[in-house]
Amino acid sequence: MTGDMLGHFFMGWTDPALLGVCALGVFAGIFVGAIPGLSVTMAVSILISFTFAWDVNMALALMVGVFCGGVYGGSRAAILLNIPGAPSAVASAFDGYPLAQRGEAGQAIGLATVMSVLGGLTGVLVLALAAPALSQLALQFAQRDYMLLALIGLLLVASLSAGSTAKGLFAGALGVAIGTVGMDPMTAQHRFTFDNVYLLGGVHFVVAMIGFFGVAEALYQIHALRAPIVKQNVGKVIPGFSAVRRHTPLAMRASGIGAFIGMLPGAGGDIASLLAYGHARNSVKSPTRPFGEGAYEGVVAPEAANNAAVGGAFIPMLTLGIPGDAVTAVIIGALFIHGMQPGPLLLENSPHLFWFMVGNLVLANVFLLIFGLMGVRAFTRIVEIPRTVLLPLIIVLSIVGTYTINSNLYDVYLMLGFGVLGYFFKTFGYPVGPIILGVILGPLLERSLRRTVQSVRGDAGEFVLVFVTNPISLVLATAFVVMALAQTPLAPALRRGLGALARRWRR
Amino acid sequence: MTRTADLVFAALMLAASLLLLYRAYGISGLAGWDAAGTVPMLATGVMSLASAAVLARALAVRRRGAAQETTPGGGVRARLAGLLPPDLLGLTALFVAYVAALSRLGFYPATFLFVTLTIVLLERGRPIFAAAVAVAAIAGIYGAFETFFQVRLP
Repeated sequence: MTGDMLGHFFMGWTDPALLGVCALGVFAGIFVGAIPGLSVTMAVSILISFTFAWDVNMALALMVGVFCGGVYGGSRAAILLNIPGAPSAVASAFDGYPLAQRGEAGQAIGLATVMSVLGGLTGVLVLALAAPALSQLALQFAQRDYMLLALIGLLLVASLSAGSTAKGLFAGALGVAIGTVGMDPMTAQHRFTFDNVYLLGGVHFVVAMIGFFGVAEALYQIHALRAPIVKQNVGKVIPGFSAVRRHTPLAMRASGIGAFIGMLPGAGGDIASLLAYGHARNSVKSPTRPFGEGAYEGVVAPEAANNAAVGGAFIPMLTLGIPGDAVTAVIIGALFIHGMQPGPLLLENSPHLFWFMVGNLVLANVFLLIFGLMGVRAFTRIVEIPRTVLLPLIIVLSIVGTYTINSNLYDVYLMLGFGVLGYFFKTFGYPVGPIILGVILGPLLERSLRRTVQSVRGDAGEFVLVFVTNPISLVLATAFVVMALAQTPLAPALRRGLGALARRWRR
Repeated sequence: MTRTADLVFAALMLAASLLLLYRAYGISGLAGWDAAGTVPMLATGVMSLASAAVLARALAVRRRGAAQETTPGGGVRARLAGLLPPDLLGLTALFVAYVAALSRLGFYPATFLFVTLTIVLLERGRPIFAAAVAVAAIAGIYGAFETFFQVRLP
């Protein structure tokens, strides 16, 4: 068993094609992540359809590489331009850009690279240890528990998104609604087809993904078309050993935060990096400089956390089939396309795939270290590519990616429609991430709900009873209710009431 | 975005949500929790409630600070120009024309025209640069998609 495990772990390391694809993915991911306006989710959404014809291991090696590279790459533009290339790099700009303004961009990038790798490897370690255990626990989950997990994931992503919770809930619910378009799988009734034959087959989630993440972003970048491109000079990059040693304890704590946050369905690197930055501010008594003025700790913590969140996000994705964030939602789609079913049985039936992904994540972090420290000038040039060139290329890639799904131009028109809608959403502050989670989680939610109702033969009393008599269901249901109430105007009153109860209990 | 634009968009989202809720009800009514229309109704119901909350907030914000709104007429034109700049409208029109041209001209000629015209539009000129980028893009697409990814092009 251990020999098989190691064999699959190192498969990506010893096969030249897989090694090359992983390296290509990391390089492309850093490229995509470094350019403000291009997102990792956009890149992976488009890549899904390009890798249809590939073996599943090759497809996963590429996407995992892009994911790891993209999360890290966002720090480049954050440090050099004060424009995060990815949402997970927002916190890196707080102290990264002041460092660049002081002429220390190279040191900042070098330290960010090393700490990103440290965080990434920590996240993978947590994945390797936690996923098998959680997978065993998940075998005891009933359909109602998956329904609750899907609801918790949607509620979390809605409440943690930028913008108001109401807008996040709207977006998540819209995603669920989009997922129901077509013929009902149980009764074949038409849902939201508007008498259009084309819509009977439903909306492919990749069409929605490319539309909302690719085309919408490209259209939105029109507003930044004339923004001047700032040329940067980057000096020495490889950090000294004493700097790495000094900041490693903080990086490890931030990695722990990142891996935990990444594990939460719907929460990802952006939340992890902000929480880690807050932790650094509160815990580091003597930073290199005051936070916000170029403290290296202000770069170390978010960068370690956002890469650790990558490993964490894979945990619910692989063990429960619930995405940890938008990118893992897309990767779940890739697994579906290649005939894999993420969930507790994945580790039972396809342990080779799990250990291959773990090995690939470690390999991706190794390439991250190499490219991150050696490719500085190339990546500095990347952020100088004019948007007038990037935008039409993104649109061409989006069209090719969409057409590849069903070789149907109607998909492309639908993708444009989603792109235009996504543009308006971004303009008016509606988050787009929850839409994709809704599209992915919606079918799981519906399937679980219907099976739970059928298992109690539609009896309302028994339906409620099964949630309180089973310990796992009770915990999940309580968590959902508490989280839902926390979003309502009742939250302050509830907190006061609970606080009074706690004080009375202590007496 | 201005408060009026926020309000209008929130109202549109509420109207769309209510329309979809009505359509969802038409799937299977209130036949039961495992009926085909249940999850669509739940989803569109949440959309309706959430968009009503967004609209209420937009109304409250507008009531608190309506003084800075510009006068009608020129103000509305300026706001529309900010929301839908000419470059965006031009890019969208080119996008639609590109997709329509794919089946008539073929992928590579249509892509060459689209990339060239888009860069000329956004750069306000530089046709030779635009054409060079288009040729490089097509070469890259051929290499990447036909040989590396082996995908079917439109």
